[in-house]
Amino acid sequence: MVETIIDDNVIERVSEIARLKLSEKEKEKFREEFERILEEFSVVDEIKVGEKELYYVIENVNVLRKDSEPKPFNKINDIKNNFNKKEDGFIVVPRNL
Amino acid sequence: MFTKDLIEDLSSNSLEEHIHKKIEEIQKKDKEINSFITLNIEDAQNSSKEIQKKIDKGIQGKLSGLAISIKDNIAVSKLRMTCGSKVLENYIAPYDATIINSIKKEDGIIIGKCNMDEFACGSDGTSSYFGPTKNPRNIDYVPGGSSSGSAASLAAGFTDLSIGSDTGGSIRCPASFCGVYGFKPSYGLVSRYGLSDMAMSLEGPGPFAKDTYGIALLLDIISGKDPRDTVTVESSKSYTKTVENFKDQDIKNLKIAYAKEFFEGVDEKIKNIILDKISKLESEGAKIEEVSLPNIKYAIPIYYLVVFSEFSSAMSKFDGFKYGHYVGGQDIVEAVSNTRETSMGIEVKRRVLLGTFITMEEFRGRWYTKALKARSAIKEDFKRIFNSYDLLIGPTMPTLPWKIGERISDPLSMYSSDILTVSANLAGICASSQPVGEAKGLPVGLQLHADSLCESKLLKGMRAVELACGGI
Amino acid sequence: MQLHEDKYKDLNLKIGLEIHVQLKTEQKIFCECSTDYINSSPNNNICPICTSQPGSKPMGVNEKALENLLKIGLFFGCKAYEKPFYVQRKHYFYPDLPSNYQRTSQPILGDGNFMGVGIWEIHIEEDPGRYELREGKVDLNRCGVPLAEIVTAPDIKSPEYAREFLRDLLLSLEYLGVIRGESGSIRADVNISIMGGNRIEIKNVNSVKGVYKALKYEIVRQKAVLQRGGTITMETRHFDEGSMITKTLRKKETVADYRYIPDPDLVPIYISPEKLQEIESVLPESPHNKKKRFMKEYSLGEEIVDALISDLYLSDFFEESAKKSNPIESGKWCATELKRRLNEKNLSVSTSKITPKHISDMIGFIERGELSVKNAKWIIEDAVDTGEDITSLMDKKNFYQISSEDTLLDIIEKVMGDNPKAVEDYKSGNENALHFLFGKVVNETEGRAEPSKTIKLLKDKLCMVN
Ligand SMILES: [Mg+2]
Ligand SMILES: [Zn+2]
Repeated sequence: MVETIIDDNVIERVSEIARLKLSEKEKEKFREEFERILEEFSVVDEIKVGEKELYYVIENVNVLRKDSEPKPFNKINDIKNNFNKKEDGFIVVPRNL
Repeated sequence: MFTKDLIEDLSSNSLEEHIHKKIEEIQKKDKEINSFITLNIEDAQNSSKEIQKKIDKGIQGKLSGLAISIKDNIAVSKLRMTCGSKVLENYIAPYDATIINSIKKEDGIIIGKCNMDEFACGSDGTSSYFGPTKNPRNIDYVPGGSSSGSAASLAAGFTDLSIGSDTGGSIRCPASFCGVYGFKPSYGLVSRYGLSDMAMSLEGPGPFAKDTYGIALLLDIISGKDPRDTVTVESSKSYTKTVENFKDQDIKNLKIAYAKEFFEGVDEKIKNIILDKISKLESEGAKIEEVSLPNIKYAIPIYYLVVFSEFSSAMSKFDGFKYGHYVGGQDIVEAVSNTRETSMGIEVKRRVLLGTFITMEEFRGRWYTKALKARSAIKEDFKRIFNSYDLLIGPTMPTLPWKIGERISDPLSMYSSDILTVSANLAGICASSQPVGEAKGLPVGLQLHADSLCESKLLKGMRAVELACGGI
Repeated sequence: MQLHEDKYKDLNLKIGLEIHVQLKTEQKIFCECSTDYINSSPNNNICPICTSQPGSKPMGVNEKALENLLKIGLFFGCKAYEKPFYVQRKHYFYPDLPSNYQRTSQPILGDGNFMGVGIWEIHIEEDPGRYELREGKVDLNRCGVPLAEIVTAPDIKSPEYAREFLRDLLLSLEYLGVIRGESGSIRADVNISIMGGNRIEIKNVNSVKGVYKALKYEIVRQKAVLQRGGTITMETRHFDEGSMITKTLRKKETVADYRYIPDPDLVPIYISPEKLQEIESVLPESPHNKKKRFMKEYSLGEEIVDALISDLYLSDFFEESAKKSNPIESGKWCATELKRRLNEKNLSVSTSKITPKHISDMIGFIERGELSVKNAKWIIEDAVDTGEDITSLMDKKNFYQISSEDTLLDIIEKVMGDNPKAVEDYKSGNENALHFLFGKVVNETEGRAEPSKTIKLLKDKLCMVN
């Protein structure tokens, strides 16, 4: 057994941080599911692990890029066409007063 | 070699006709299979005319007008890229992925964008917002996922080659279920620029083909260092040669390991077919030995913990402002929440929430950090094996394809089907799946692994198996 | 100015700053777009990378940005960490942040000091775009401009010192040539605690003046809370540039957990000792060291030196002119008249026409008695404006001083002849008469009579008259 106590408070906070609105029913469903999934996943505790976290499976390091003349992107309008709402070139989003 | 012969045929027969036939097939049968989300018919027809002219002059690129279908999480300029989600239902990609550039340069014809599990979150091809893809071998069954449409479009004869992406088996699983060749390149060999993120440290694009030669051909074209992807490395680009120059004699030089852990809980019928191929290879002179991979049984939790973490980060960008589905709201917080709530599917939400949870301040040490530490253990297991062996052999999937709708409700049972494929992604090595038989009328795939950046060894192994199975 | 200001002594003020400056490069940090986001109409300086289009990946970190950041760190006496550093993702939703996470590196250098204030650490990050809160408009042109974030220890003890510290810091970075000039501004997060209480963070203050005003406001606000018997709770506040006050952020804007993860798309970066050495070797002298050197090497007073080093170009200009003239004189002229004229004209030595030779030549003329100190001021003004050489200015303005005794004596005799009353007055003991007569000589020569010589000759002549 693991101490995966995911109380409603935590689910609420997770949904706020992730910007995913959840109904009460969904909250309950996910809470139950997450406890089950994480309990099953707690077998990772059995592995003898070192201190080192493996972020990258390749050995590339120091991939830097020389600064030079800017190369403007030539299809900016194709980016802008996907803007949801626009005005005078700006993306329109809700105000924050 | 099927693909090679096809290219040679195209230099004497009409390319326009070839493409036309593919389009006809798609229009006739894809309503049922549902392997495409977006078709590129007009453009494909025009390209076939252009490339025909090049063929007539003998100046065509290496792909010589072959039809290629592309998983819909890879950017093709001016074409819709949905990632199988309502989130990007109307998103038109403003640029080409690096590999798409390379394919266009070598005169590949992009015939359409393929159906897939929503944002690659799925193992059977049923979680797409655009409806499930069906297995061309039997439409009651799943095609495997998440590159479901890529494998299905190839198996159905709609295309000559295909490109998918593999985060934890998303190429190999549908290749196995649909009975085609699928290849997951080593991490860093193929540029990910233009591949929509699922779990960035695990995934990359890779080819589907009807044979080993087709895989090698695409690999030559799409591999190599890309300034737009810092994890990429140089490529020898001599994979086609490796396959062409393969001789029966080469089998004798292969040292192949098989691990009992890769057969635990595997369907008996599958197990027998794979073991049969192993003994065939042995009888032809390959050295086969049993090894142990003690940490493989932890691969699923480690893999999914990494996936959740990286996926929740990757999915942050979808707020509806710059692109994608948008709902709106009183303020910026509400607008984003509304948008995400109404456009993301259940498995996507599940992973985003879990990923958010396990990377939060209070819980990250318990989950995220631990998973990363455990990931080293998997890598070590493989390192040990590849110090002494060229290849690791086994089945691709533990079961035959299941019926559509059978596993949707239970995430854990869906996750468990990835048990044999996720380790290669955790370790960053290369792996393949190829059809080696069938059971109950459904295809069975054999999986080979080779060490990181040892694609030539892997292709030799694939070719050996291909020949052992009566391939040409 | 002192770190400790008496008037805040009882408050035990602790102020720390997180300062963001834009690093000078041609291209953005992770893509090939221009960093000149200002001269572009909204959303016209963007590409798939800096707008986080699905599938796009960051390119390798712009090397120049990193070099500029290393220069800043080494300049402040920081040490680089030996371990490789990761670029991390800092997650928070905001419309000006296309990925909804900001790429920000782990600390690259740390443990430095500037003006008695500890520099905790310096790291590199990407600038977000711009979100006009009130209009609900977003422009992504600025996304991906490289930033350095400089985090200070809470060593600052007054709003006044915070202001001075920031001004000098900006000046030094301009010195180094590592920051974007025209942006001119600074963006800072300001941390303040008083009386050992909780720390308040004021986010996104956009000017040096803003930092000062925000701190002043916070001190008054917190004092008032404490006087009412309240307590200061730890919180993040927002500074309103218009009303110059700080405001509490709403709760849902503060629920944050940045969930830092190393960006899987960017491999670790390791800074070699060779690289550090290479950068250190081309680093200009710090203002602090330059001040010490100027005072010692040129025997200049502190006030003059402060004026000179407040402008890198001026201090270089001075050193050049001091090579060919008396440094004390040169320092004085550069720090006073030259600086005054430049300010007046809104110029710097690099944009005006004056050269170090003007100053050294001019000092030569003064020393030889050919130019009066009073006229020298006019020479400086003209040199700044026209750049003409001193000799021709002298000619044109007829500034050559008359120091020939014969010539002066002729004039003195004439003046004395013309003003017998004044001569009489002097003889009967009226010293003012001497000044009157001197004035007449000056007028007669259109101001060109060498003053000390004239006085001496005038006195001699008056004594000789019976
Ligand atoms: Mg920062
Ligand atoms: Zn850009």
